[in-house]
Amino acid sequence: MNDSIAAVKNEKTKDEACRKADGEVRMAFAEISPGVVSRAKCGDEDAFHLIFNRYGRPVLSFIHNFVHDRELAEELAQETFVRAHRNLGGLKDDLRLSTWLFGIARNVVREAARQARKDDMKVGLDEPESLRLESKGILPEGALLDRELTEAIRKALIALDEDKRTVFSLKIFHEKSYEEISAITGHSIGKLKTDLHRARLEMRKRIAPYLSMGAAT
Amino acid sequence: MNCERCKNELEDFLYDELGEARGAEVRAHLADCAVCADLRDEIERENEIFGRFYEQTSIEPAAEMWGAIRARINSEARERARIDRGAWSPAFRPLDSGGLKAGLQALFRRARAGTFGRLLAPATLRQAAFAALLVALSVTATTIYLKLGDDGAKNSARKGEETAPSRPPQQSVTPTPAPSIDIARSGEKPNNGLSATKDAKPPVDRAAPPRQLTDQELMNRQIARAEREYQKAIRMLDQAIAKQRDRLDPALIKQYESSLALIDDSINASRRALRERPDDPAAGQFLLAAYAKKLDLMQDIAMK
Repeated sequence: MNDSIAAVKNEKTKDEACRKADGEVRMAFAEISPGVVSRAKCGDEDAFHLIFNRYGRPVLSFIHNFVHDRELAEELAQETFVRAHRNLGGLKDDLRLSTWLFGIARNVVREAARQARKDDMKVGLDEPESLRLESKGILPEGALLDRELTEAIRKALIALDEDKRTVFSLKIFHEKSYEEISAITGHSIGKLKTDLHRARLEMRKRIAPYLSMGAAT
Repeated sequence: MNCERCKNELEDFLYDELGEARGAEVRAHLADCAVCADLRDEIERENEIFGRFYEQTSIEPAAEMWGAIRARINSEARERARIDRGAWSPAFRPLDSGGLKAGLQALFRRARAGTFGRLLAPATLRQAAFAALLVALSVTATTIYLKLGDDGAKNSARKGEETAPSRPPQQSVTPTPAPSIDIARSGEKPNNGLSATKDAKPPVDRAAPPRQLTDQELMNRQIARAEREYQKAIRMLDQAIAKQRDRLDPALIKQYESSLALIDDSINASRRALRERPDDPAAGQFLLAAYAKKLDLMQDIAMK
């Protein structure tokens, strides 16, 4: 009897929390407020859709930095969001949603890499399939240089080892703090700083010729 | 501040990761040192290029991606609802052969499901499923045996005095039962002290009819056996989970461990209840249900 009363009370509290969060969902278009996360935790599909809309691109791009294959990146991003939905209840701090999502994405990528190694896939991670310069069409000089620089950066990124690429991508592209990157990767801040510094030096070395060409023109 | 220290802290300064005081020191040094200021400009220029690169190369999710995610989420929700509807875990429905079949199907379906289902060593999964199957078969067999035993008893009662007079059931039970093979295998010593040495073994009366166990004893023995099978399956899954622990989400591991602790509490409470009320069939059922829940949870984690 007492149990059923307690259960009803719990449901009521949960419902109230969900209703409260509902109000915040409508307000949250640009950024994801903790209310949206609470709402998604209550099983609101629209709230989870908002989360996907907000973080779909960064998560997909983060994954793409590792796999360089759009189809595979989308498959892994899909897996990331399905896992996130499945384990949303385990997210303790709603404000750390993005950190948590990147952490899942990183795990998913690592698992895929492991699996790819296991399967000895012919086309897989870091295959420079998507890196070939498309030579079709004549481009203006500036655009060509831009394209070459883009490819140089892409190649330089691929040349970084996993740890350096992770910290570089999260810090430079996604503007995460060291603390957040540490939460995502499990590495100490000291290691992250060292890796980022080395990553920058390697990147600089690889793209320097393109930068000087740009300066000369 | 000298140039060396400024170089070391420059990136942190640009990322706003230095405290107020140190940030002010770097700022002051940059105002006075042209070399360090050039380095700052270079880093800022690089960051601008990298930012442009990200803007150009980051990809928008395809329109159908949300649809695919939604479909998978809904399908998982349906599966969970189906599992929650049953009082017993689908991996263990001992008294219902349909449930057993459904449980095993669910087990293998879940093993196959998803891109990463294949990451779990299939051998471990097969072994765990086999252990669960053994548990289910063993308890089902007991139930059938007990049912047949009841029918047999009724039949013999009907036959009346045609057969040799049988002793009442209570008399057929040895006061200090010999340990079962399973117990002997598991290294537990019998408590009658007679088998402490080889020589002390009591003479075996081969002409004596096989000792009949009471329903209660049989059920207890089957529960003990089921418990061992569950523990075997749990050990296997535990090893599988330990192997992939480092690539699981830490929040998930935390949640898993707290759920596991709750289930373990429930197992211990059920075991205590069974010890206190060995003739209460519900206590045994609770114990096995708790094990089934644990197995279910571990399978879920192992297949993530």
